[in-house]
Amino acid sequence: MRQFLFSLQKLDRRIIFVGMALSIFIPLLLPFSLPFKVSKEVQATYDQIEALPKGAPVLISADFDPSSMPELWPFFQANLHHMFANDLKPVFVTLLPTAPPLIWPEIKKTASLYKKQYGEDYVFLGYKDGKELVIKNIGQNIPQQFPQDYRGTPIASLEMMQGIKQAKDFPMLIAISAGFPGINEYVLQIQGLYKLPMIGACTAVSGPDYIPFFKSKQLLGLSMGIPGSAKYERLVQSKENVQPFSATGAKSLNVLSLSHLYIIFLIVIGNFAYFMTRDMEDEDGPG
Amino acid sequence: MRTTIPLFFGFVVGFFMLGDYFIPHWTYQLIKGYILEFGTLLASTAFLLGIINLIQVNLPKIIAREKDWFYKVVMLVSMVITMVFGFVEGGARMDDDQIYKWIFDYILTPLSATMFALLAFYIASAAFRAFRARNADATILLIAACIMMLATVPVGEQIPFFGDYLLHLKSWLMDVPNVSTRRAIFVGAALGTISTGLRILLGIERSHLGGD
Amino acid sequence: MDPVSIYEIIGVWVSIFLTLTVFSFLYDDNPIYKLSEHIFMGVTIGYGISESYWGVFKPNLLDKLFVWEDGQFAGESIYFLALLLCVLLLFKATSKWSWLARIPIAILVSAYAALKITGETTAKLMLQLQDSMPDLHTSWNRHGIWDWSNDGAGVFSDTFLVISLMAILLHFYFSKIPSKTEKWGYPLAGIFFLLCFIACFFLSPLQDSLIGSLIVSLSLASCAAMPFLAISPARKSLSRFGVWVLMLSFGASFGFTVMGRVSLAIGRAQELLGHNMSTERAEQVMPQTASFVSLLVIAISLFWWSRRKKDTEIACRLSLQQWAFSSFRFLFGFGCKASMNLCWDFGLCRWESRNFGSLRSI
Repeated sequence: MRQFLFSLQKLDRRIIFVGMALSIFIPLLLPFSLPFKVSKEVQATYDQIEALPKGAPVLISADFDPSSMPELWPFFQANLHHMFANDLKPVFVTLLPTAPPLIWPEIKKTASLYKKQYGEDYVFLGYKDGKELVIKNIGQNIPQQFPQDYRGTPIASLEMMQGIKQAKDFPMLIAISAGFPGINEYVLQIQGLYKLPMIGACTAVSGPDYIPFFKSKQLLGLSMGIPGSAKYERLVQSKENVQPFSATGAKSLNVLSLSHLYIIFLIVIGNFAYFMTRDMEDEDGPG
Repeated sequence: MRTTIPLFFGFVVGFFMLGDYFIPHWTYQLIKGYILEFGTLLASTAFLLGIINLIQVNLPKIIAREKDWFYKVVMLVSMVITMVFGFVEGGARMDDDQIYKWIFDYILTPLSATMFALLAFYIASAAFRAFRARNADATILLIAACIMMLATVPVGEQIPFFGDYLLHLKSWLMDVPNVSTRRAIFVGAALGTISTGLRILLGIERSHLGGD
Repeated sequence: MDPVSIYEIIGVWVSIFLTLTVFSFLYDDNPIYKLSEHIFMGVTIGYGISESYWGVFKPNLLDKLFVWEDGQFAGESIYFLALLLCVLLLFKATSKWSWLARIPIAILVSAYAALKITGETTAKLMLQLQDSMPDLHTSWNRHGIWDWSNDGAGVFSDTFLVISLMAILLHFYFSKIPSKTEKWGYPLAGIFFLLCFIACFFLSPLQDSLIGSLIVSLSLASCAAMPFLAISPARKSLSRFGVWVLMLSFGASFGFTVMGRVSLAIGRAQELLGHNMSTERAEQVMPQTASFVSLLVIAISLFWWSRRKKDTEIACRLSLQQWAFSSFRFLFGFGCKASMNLCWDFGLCRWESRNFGSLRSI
């Protein structure tokens, strides 16, 4: 038995990989649904957007790329429905070059579902390189930093952009961020300086870094990773005037359950084997 | 001379940007706006510089048929093809029927996403091999990680009796020990950033200018 | 049902194939993976420069600078300065004039440093520290010592936050404290504890709750005494406590990291199974068939490659021996043709092993 446990610690990594793949594919092929509760951070996100008056412009910085899509896409999709269902007027910007082709088709598709007009009900200003320098200029002078929108139209000719010159002209900023530049930079350069109400949606990896901002009310709402996106998605879907859309976040959350159990199982087995064979390891050197 | 002039410009621009916090006058803000915009242009130029450097490094290796030269050819060819379609297709490059959009959707997106997805498998392997309760510190870390992994997914909530407490415990871990840790790191990092920033503005720190 | 275009079908198949080529790295580092890796790098760079042109250079420089109205220059001349700085930066690629690039670099780095100084001071240093000292009286009135239904909010958690924050900061403090100063640690902590306790207890707004006043005063007094304990011999124990809190937090971060990474793998698995598209579209594109075919092709290629790698290694070893033997034969006049062939084989084997060999990952 002890010999088996000792050799178990030197298990080929490919067997662990196969187990990991199975823990992902099995719940996808045999789907199940477990109930979940909405966390206070996500509930606050939803409530803050609900509290905005109809017709209010909202600045949304969608800074995610293909690699962070599984985590942030469900939030972005639900957020679009939330915006248009509440007759809010989103202005989208992005600081990542790979974001526009991901978000622009979805913005157009969702806007058409709610019969919203480009330039009157929503605007996409496109991508700008320069990271914090761009964020700083969004805080102060949007027309200078974004003289044209994503389609090349001068923003001065867009009806919705009349009277919007800087971040302070928005009652709310939503940063959907995959890392750098993202929530942290918006808090440093805009929220901290102009005290602009701000909401964040981030990947699970950076979630613990942003909790202090939520606690100090610099972020009024926070969605972290797939759980946050799935919970927000459910809140939006339960609204009356929202058009139906697929719950990608909730589907992924159920798959996540089995994968997490598998990793906990690996940790438990690994430690059990380690404690049972600790003396053997001392004799033979670390495995 | 070659160092003093850049340092002088850096000093002037840096302190001008610092002054923005205290001087809200419109002329001052106008100049600051230009500096920020020029900064974004310089950041994009740096990207261009990176590409020039990439060609400078890889082209001689291809010509000399060095190790893995074929892969370098593939890299440069992919780069040129993407760039050409990006420039040729212009403002319509992101329309559904464009080759540039096709390259983005079916080459860049899957490759980029899968590169990061590989980490899921390695983290599982690391959890099995390296995550050991060897001492008190490691045990605390391990228990906190397991609580977090269980409580963030719906299956954790379903555990009879304990499930509800698990959720609250997870929130407590995030709201109290996590916040105190992050704040301590914030304080250290902020003090470090401020001191490094001042060293750069005053010209004491010059490593970003490179050697002579 | 809208028909899916052939380009889209090819696209999805290519996408699935490329996904699996990257996953083939899990088996071993191999030429198919390397090929995908380099395609990825090339496409990313090409895409980045194209987007920089359309997103930044064109709207923020060219469209502002090169404007002509009735044959007259009508652009904003100040952007010549931006153009000049950009050109100066490009001199970095030369060896003789690279020092000219220092000017734009110095401007960019200084502007960035200045932004960081103000941002970090206002949004992080001040606001985060300000929020760390909670109102314990309000906390007692709302939650008491510990409130399970509110995620453990209450006086205990608030006090724990302050004390652990100081303990962690203490752990990051590496300077040695002089023994003369150390002697004052306990007495000063005691004095401040007592003064703070008495002041809080008698001035407490919780006059109707004796226990409440007592607990809140004790908590506040402990927080007040902490900075002085940092210079006492007790700092080692405090630092140890700080490490435990750090471990709790890093454990939580690990949990979140696992979640993040697995989420990405779930995203790829959904694409391989066609769960990211509608049923009608999936029926036409057949992503699961594409996954199966791609997997088969990659598996066969990997099998062939690993066999070839093994054969090449053996062949290399064999040809070394045979080369030595045939050289011997050549020297003795038993014909040079065979040895020349073997030399050629040996050279080829070396070339192949250089390209495909020694790629084993950790």
